[in-house]
Amino acid sequence: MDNVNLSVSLTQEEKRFLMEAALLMRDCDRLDEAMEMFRAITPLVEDKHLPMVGVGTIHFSRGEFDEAVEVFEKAVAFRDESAIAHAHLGEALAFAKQNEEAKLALDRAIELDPKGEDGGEMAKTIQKFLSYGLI
Amino acid sequence: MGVGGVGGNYNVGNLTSFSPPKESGFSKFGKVLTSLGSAIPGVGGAISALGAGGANTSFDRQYQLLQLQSEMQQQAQMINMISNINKTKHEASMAAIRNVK
Repeated sequence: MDNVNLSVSLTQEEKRFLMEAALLMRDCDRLDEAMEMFRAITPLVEDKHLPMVGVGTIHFSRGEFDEAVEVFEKAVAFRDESAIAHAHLGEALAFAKQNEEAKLALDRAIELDPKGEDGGEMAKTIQKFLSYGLI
Repeated sequence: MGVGGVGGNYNVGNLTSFSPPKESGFSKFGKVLTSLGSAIPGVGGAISALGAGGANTSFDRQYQLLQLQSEMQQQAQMINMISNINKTKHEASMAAIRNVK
């Protein structure tokens, strides 16, 4: 069994299915399974920042804001033009009490997605929370 | 969907400290009457009865109701905001997943 190539190739539909399954796990509070799924998906997709964001949201759900910031920063480093990664980074920074950095990340998300469909609207809502002093 | 999944870190209780309700004019008037009653011995009894026993009780109840209404409105507003943030997060995630490569 030496030199066996075990690379897996997935269709876009299969990648979508796996990502949705992992999100569903997370939203059912099965965080350990969701984390495992997001980590397993990462090498299988080109858009690696998306499962990275998934991993970050699990840290965020657990209240591990510094770890969440670290993972979201990696996602942003991988794909700087991803509004959703910047929006999540902004949220985690706000909860980690780094308000100035949070504002910058949220502004960047809105700049990248002015229509609001891919994270811009989320960033605007978080900005509202920040401005009311609720985070 | 479990709120803890995405929006669990947002606390509904925070809103009460965000904008505390102010004391109503009715309640303040009732308190003034009560203090006036105790300050003037001659007419104190009558005013005090009006202030404490009659009008003040009614004003206080009204004030408590208004305060409760205000708190309920604030909580509803907070729940609405959290629901909104969860909705925008979900929509952004789904939009990203739809085009995953």
